[in-house]
Amino acid sequence: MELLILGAAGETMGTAVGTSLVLLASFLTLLAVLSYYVWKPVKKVMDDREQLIHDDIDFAENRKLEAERLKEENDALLKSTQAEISELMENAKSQAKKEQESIIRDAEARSSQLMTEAKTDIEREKEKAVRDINDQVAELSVLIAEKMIRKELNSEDQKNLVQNYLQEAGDK
Amino acid sequence: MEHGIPTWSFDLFGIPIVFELATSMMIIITCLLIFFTLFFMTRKLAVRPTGKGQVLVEALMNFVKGIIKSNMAWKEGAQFHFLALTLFLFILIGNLIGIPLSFVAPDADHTLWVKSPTADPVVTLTLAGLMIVLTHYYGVKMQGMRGYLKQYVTPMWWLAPIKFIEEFTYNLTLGLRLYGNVYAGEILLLLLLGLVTGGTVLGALGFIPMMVWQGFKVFIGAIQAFIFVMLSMVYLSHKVSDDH
Repeated sequence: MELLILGAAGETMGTAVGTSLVLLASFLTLLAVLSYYVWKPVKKVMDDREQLIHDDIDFAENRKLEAERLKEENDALLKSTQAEISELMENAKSQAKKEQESIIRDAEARSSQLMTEAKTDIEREKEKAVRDINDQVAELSVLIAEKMIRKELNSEDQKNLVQNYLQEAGDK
Repeated sequence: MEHGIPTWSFDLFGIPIVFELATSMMIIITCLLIFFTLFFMTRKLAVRPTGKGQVLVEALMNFVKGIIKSNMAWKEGAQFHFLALTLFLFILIGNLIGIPLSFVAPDADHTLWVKSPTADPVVTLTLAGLMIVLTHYYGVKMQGMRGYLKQYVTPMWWLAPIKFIEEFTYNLTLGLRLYGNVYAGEILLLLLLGLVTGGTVLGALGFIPMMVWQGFKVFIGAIQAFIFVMLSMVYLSHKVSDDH
């Protein structure tokens, strides 16, 4: 087969030229047409996808950073709030204790005051009662005396009688 | 087994321009097949792929991108992406198209009409030549004429003749490797086909090795397409990159 002989002159070289031209024309046309109708659109879609993925990754990273920042903020806020709350509780407790003590103190003071008042009242009433009784006794004595006086008595008897009554009244 | 080669020629300024009709026809059929297949595979493009077509084409693009990236920086290699893709597809489909079909016309010459276009040395050498010419073009374009010429005298000035000859051997090795593989496969396939259609009972069993050989030829066709594109990119990177 003459085609196998490399560098064979004449006819073989002539063969090369025609088929070569067909190949070059076909191949370059195929390259151009495929580039326009297939490679470029597909490449564009792939680039778009790549861009989309890049954007998504960037977006996710930003979101992550933001979330971390927010978490730190929240933690700090929570910590400060907790400290505040415990301080408030502490304050409330001490306040309550103080109030409790003051209430107890007040109550004690008031009760002791009431006691003394009651005692003085009792004393006064007692004195008053004694005085009343004395007065009544005196009146009764006077009445008795009058009654006795109306009776006719001798002076001796009268005197004794009065003496006796007075003594009795004085003992009471 | 000899096969006739259909030709058509005309004289241009006394030089005969001869067309091998079978090869030319198969070249055009291959191109049309590739174009329409891919065209209809990529009609519904979406960022989220909806069909298998787009996924397949994208996988192919990434595969060829990988070939280029293994040889040069993508910054430089991106401009060769479409070229490498088209080259890969043309050689792959060109290699495979001769496997399922062989048509030998029932005339006196046994004219072979349907075959792989890459089973023709003219085709493979022209493709190889195109790639080598492109390496020189991009070498000058991206390195400047000084940088391009400097490559011939590095690392040693007396290596220049060898480097010069190398440029032509690149062309020959690139083209003839592909041609040899595909043509040898085609010959064996035709011989087996002759055996099977020979009419003898024993010969009819030849379809078993024929099927095996067809399967192997698919493998060879894919490997050779890969090697051709890979080596083209290697030669391109030699000329284009600064680090050589």
